[in-house]
Amino acid sequence: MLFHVRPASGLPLYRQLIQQIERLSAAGGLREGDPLPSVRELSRDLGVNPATVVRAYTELERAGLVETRRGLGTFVAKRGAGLQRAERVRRLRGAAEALVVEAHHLGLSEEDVHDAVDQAAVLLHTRQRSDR
Amino acid sequence: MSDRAIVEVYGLVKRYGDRRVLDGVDLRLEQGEALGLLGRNGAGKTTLLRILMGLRRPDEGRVRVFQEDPRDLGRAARQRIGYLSESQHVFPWMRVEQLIRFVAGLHTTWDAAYAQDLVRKLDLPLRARVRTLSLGESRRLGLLLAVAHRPDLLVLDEPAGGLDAVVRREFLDTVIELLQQAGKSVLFSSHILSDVERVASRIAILERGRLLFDGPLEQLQESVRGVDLELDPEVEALALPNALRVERRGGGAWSAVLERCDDRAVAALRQRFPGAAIEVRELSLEEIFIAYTGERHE
Repeated sequence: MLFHVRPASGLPLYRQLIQQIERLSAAGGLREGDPLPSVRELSRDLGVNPATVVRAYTELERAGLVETRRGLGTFVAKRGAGLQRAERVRRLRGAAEALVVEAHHLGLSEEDVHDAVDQAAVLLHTRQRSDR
Repeated sequence: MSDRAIVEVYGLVKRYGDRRVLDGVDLRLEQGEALGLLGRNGAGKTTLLRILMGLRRPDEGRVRVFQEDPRDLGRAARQRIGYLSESQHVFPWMRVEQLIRFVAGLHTTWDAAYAQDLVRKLDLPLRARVRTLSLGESRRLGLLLAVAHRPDLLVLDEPAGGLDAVVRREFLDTVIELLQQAGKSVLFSSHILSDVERVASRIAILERGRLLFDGPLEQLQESVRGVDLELDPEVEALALPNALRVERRGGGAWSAVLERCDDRAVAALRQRFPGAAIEVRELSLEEIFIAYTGERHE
């Protein structure tokens, strides 16, 4: 199965779903126009309240990553159909800034930040390969 | 009173002798919600559910289920409720199939095909006498009897008590299937927090007869966070805003659990302790529960 949830991990279940869908589409595992499972299906397969799936889809739609077509279901949105590139870059800068601040509080250097990002990217790619 | 409210409780007090088992509880359940009621043993969960089911009289306060007093709920409203209690079945001498037929006769909305489907899914021995059922079989039968009329409000008191993982998953699937039908509401108490996390859209934490938290599950998970601080210079005492727990780990190391711990609250902490290393952690539902009640959820 494409998706899974792990209760008791500390991360709300709807966030776990959002992360998986974001990762999959970032890595090309989900492409533009691909259908996502229906709320009913996913709720049943994962054993979670349908409201949890609705919440995840709603947030992804707000972020422009998926789109709902009435009566048809939820699909991966066309790239750029949601957020403009400038807006996406702006968000990324925000995340980067938080990272640098965090490093500062931990008493780490910018070098360490670059290393951490590289390592995270490698880890992500490995995980995506092993998921397939 | 909102017309979407399925259950409304205001200022509910219940005394057993000198003890206030429920000590001023306010609670609402809206249509479509799944409310998970958490609390240690003796916190008042079962008493609250029994009062909602009209089986106990409140000493003070106002209780409404489907806009009516549960103690004189009309037949039509009663049929909209499914209730699985902790106690045993009332007719132990009956065979399982007899009891199912008997309960079916009490409900105009009984879905015989669905009941048959559940007999198979829950693996119930139709010919067995009810009194000879194992605990697991007895609970599964209770679940069938509580849901086969497709109630608008399903109330479950510790449904997973003493059940193994496979049976629990069957329970979970049945409840989730009910929630997939528009407008159905569920109110349940459970000590299995991973099940609660899967099913509940809202959480109420009951402790010594009072509600310590009542709100959306995600709000509980996202606003209550763990904060580890390494303070330099060391301090002898530490007071933090909205703290559920503050513990000294030794030296300058402190560990806290804070409510309403959003990014702004964390920024304020960093400003207050400029030299400190501060780490913020997401907590599991179990850790959050312990922070509120001081004990493991058992």
